Amino acid sequence: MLDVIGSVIIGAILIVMIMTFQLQLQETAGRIYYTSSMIDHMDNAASNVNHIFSMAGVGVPSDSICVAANSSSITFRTYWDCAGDSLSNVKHLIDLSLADYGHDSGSVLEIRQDGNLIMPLGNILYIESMHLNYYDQNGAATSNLKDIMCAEVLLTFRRDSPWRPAQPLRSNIQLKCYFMNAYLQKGGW
Amino acid sequence: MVRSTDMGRASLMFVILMTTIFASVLVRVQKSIGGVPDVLIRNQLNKEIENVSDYVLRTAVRNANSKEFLDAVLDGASTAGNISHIETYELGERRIGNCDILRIEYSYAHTADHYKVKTYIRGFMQGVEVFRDAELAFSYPMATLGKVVPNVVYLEFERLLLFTWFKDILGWILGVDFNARTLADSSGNNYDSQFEGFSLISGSAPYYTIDQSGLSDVESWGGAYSKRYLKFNGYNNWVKVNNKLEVGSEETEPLDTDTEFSIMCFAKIDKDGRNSSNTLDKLFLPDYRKQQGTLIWIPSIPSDNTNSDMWLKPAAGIYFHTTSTSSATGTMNFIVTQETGDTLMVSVPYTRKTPVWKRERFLIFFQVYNIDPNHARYPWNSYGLTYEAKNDKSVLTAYIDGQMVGQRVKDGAVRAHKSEHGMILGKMSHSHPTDSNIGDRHFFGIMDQAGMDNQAFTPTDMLLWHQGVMRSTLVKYIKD
Repeated sequence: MLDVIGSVIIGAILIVMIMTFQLQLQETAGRIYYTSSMIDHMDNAASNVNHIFSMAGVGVPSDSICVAANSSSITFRTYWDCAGDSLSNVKHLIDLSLADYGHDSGSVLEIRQDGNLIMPLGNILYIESMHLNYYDQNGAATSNLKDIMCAEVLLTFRRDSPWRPAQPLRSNIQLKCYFMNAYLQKGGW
Repeated sequence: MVRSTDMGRASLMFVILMTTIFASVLVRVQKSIGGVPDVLIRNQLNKEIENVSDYVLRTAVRNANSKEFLDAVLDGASTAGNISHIETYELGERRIGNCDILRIEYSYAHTADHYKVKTYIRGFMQGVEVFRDAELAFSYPMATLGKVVPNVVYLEFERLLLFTWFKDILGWILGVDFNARTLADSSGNNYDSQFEGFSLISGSAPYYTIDQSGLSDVESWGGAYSKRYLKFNGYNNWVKVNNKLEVGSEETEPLDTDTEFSIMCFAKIDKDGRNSSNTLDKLFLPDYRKQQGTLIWIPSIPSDNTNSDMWLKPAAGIYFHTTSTSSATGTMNFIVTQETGDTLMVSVPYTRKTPVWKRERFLIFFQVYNIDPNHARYPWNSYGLTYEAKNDKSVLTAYIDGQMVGQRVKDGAVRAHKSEHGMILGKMSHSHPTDSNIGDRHFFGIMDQAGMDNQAFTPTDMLLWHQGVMRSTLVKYIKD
């Protein structure tokens, strides 16, 4: 009888060890996946924002690209159809701004073309804040719409930790997005 | 007392319970850990495909503008019109690292200097697949985008027609044809077109650009892709487009005005019309203001036909009719004659706004009309007509500036009159049978981008064509 009880106790201890080990492994895996997917998400978001900015002003004189620009949003003209990602005959208005719909996943960076949300680029999640600074061709800060040739985009991503929801993780990225096609136009190539 | 069988059952239940818990934990671990490599691989692959895409695009751009490439790939083909050359590769045929080049597209518009290149790349590694396309255009005209270019005949009047009268005389003396009056058809069908009538220096003229004219609000495509337009002096200038079948056509009729077609052009119609002068040339250049003016006329009968009933019934035509010589307002008319001889017509009030020509003194005793540079202050207008006979209906639709301005619907799907006698720009095929003032209804103004399509443009197509021409600036862009 004592043998049975002893073996049950030892077995239970082993099982508890294995269980805690497994749970720790699961949490570690979750952290790795969370971190890598967040990095991937931030990388994609940065690429998409950069791409949208680079297509600003296609077919438009370089001094009339921007329609509106402030620290939280920008609107510009282009003949590039950002929804279909191709050149078009129609001039489009592209608008980047942050929208808060009260989702658990945080605010959304919206990219709109002629007022319509464009997908899949149009919605970039897990963004807490966005700040825009503008620069002219020589890299000097400007707020003059005619002179804007590039924008510094400061994005703060926030995602609730799966294991500590009360302590969200924040990551900041800083991008310098150039109106690449406007630069090419000015270059007279 | 606990029996051994009960003990065994309890142990079994315990083992099953534990196994289930372990299994669920393991599945979650596997899911999390298994997802990490995919994310990392996709990330790595994206970096790799970006570099490969840049390399392929650069190489393609270098190829596109080299003489060797053009000679080898285009096989000496003329770059008049639009040419696309697509190179497609099988998977593994052109591999760089983990990336395959799928396709490279080269598009030329009219010359080897106006081109764009598109590349399509696929990356594949450990079950993860990504795609990337990039493109770059050099001085590529926007007018070539989409279905905005008439496909039967399209005259863009880019040729400078210098001293046609002198070359005529020289050619007559030497017995040599200088082709001094030939106009190019950029549709690719190479319809023969000739500028007729007298022009002292050139029948075509360059656009005034904003800088040259000192004007600041010019909404035109001046200085951009379309460099010239054609002048019509209001009494003997016109263009004859000769008959011929389009390349690869299965139709038996040239300039096929059958059950479906469109005709269109851009023009600036002089708001006053051509008046006579008070000087010596009044004797042979009378008041032509009532003649204003035919834009496009596809005759239904040959020019020597004496059946005057058909003189004013073109297979299709667009013309302005002057209702009063003292008013800029008249009617814009869009007409199609059916096979039966019946006509469908849309006639809308239309006010001319542009001073195209201005009268200037010449050699003391004469006055001549010269192009008024102020016309650049006024926008170009487009005029289009579509005809469609189907579903037991015949429908003529008229457009001005890309917008529908009228429609005429008639019961019965009846094809339009045969068009076996070419197309005329700038006058009717016959003089007006009753009103000698109207005469040949010569056009007094300037014209550009005149053409015909073998399909009835939809309102969207017509608007796209209008906008495409209006915005036919040369675009330079890169997307990578």
